[in-house]
Amino acid sequence: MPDEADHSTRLVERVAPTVLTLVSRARCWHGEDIVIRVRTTAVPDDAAVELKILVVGSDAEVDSVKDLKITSGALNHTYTIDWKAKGVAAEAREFAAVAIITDPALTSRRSPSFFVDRAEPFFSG
Amino acid sequence: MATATTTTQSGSGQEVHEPVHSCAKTKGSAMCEVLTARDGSDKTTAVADVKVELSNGPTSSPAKTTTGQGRAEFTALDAGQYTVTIKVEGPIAKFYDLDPAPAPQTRAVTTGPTAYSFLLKSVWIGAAVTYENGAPAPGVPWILRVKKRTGDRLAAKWSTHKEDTSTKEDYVEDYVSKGRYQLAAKVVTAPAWSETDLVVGTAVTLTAKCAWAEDETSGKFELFDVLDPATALHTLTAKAAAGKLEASWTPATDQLGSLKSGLLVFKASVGDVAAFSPVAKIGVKEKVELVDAAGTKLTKRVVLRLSNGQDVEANVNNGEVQITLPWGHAVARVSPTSVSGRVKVEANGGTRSVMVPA
Repeated sequence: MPDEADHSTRLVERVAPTVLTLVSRARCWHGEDIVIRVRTTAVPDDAAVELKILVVGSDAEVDSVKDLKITSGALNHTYTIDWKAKGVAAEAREFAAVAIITDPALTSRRSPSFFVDRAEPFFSG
Repeated sequence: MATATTTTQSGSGQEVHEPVHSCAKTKGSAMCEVLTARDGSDKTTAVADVKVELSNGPTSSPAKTTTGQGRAEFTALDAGQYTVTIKVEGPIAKFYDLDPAPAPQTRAVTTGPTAYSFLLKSVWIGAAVTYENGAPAPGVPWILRVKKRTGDRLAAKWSTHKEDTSTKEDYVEDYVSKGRYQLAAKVVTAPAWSETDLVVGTAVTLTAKCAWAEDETSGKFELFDVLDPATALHTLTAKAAAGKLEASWTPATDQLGSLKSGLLVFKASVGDVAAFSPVAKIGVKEKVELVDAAGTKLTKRVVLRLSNGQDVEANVNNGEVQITLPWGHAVARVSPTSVSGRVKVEANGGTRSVMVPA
C-alpha cells in the first residue's frame, strides 16, 4: 500500500519481489534444448540468478546453472539436457526447474514439470 | 569599552611611559543569522531574503533583509537589550515550516557583535522503496503525489509531484510545497486466479493489485500457455478501481486453440508495468456415457484411465458421469467392469467411443 504523510517526512513504500519459473517444453529427449524462463517483479537488473534442475518427487538436484542475470524482469536461458555425467537416477523421468535469486533473497516455486525421455533411441532395421 | 595600552621605551637612561591611544566608548552590533535544516539534520544552509526587524532597544534601526549568507547586521547600537524578529514572507515562505512562527529573540548588546541565530525547518520530502526487511529495493519505478496545502486547506485531488526509479539511496527533495504526500511503487502485485483448477465454460476471476494506478486507468490480462509466455492466447481488458485490476473470464475452447500444455499463466499489466500470475490448469467437462453391449445404461463405480496416464474414479449413474478432463486429453480406458461394451464420450458437440474391456 502507498505510504502517505504530511511533508517533511521520509515515505517508505515496501514491495514484495516475486519470481516465476517456466520451461518451454513439456516433453523432450535427452540431448535436446529447453528454454528456462524466469519472470520477476521488483527485482533489479543484473540480479544474480542460479537455475537448478530437480527431479520431481525426490527434489534431487540434477544440474545447476550459475552466473545468470535478470534483465528487465526476465531471463530466458537455453539449457541443453546433457546429463550423461550427472548420475541421474535411472527411473527419473519428470523434472522441474527453480530459480534462486540472492539479492533480494528469493526462490521460485518449481516450474511446471517437463518429462525427459532418457532411453536410447530405438530404430527398426 | 575604552582600551589603552602602553609601551616602554628605553634609551639615554630615561624611561618613558606613553599611552599609544585611547579609545572612546564604542558601540555594539546585532548580527542576525538565518539558517535552515531538515528536521533532525545537522546540515544547515543559509536563508536569504528574510526580513529582520530590530526593536525594543535604545537605538532604532530600519528593518533589513538577509543576504545570500543568511545574515543581516545592525551596527552602531548603543548598549542595551534588543529584540530581533524575523519575518519569512513572500515567495520563500512556502519552503519553510512556519507553524509555529520563529520566536523573537532578545539579547543584551554591549560592544562588539551579538549573535541572533534562527533556524528554520525546511519543508522537504523523502522517498524510499524497500523490501519487507527494510533493505533498499533498487530499480522499482515509483510515483510521488501531493495534495498541496494552502493555508488550512488541502487540495481535493492528488497531483503528480515526481516520478522516478528507486536506487539504493533515498530520494530527498528540499523546499517542496507543503501538503500531504503519497509514495507508491509502480508495481503490479498479487496477480491471482479465483480458482487454479479452471474449467472451460466456467467463469473465473482474475485479479491484481496496482495501488498506484488511478481509477479508470486501463489495464489488461493476457493469457499464456506456460510453454510460451510471449504469445498471448487471449486478452482481457480491465480498468483499475480502488488500486485493483479485475476481470471475469469464462474460458472457451476457441480462445485456447493453440494451448498445448493445459497450464495457463496470465500477465496483468498496467502501462508497461506487469506481473505474471501463478500457474493454473484447465480442463474440459465431458459427459461419459457407459452402456453395456446390450445397450443397458450402467450404474456402478469405475476408474477412467485418461490419455495422460491419470486415473479418475467416477460413479456412473444411469449410464452417465460428468468428469473434468485435463486439456488435450481423453478417456482412454475404463476399468474395472464386468461388462464389455463401449463408452461414449461427448464433448464440445463431438462424440467418440472408448472400449470397455470385459
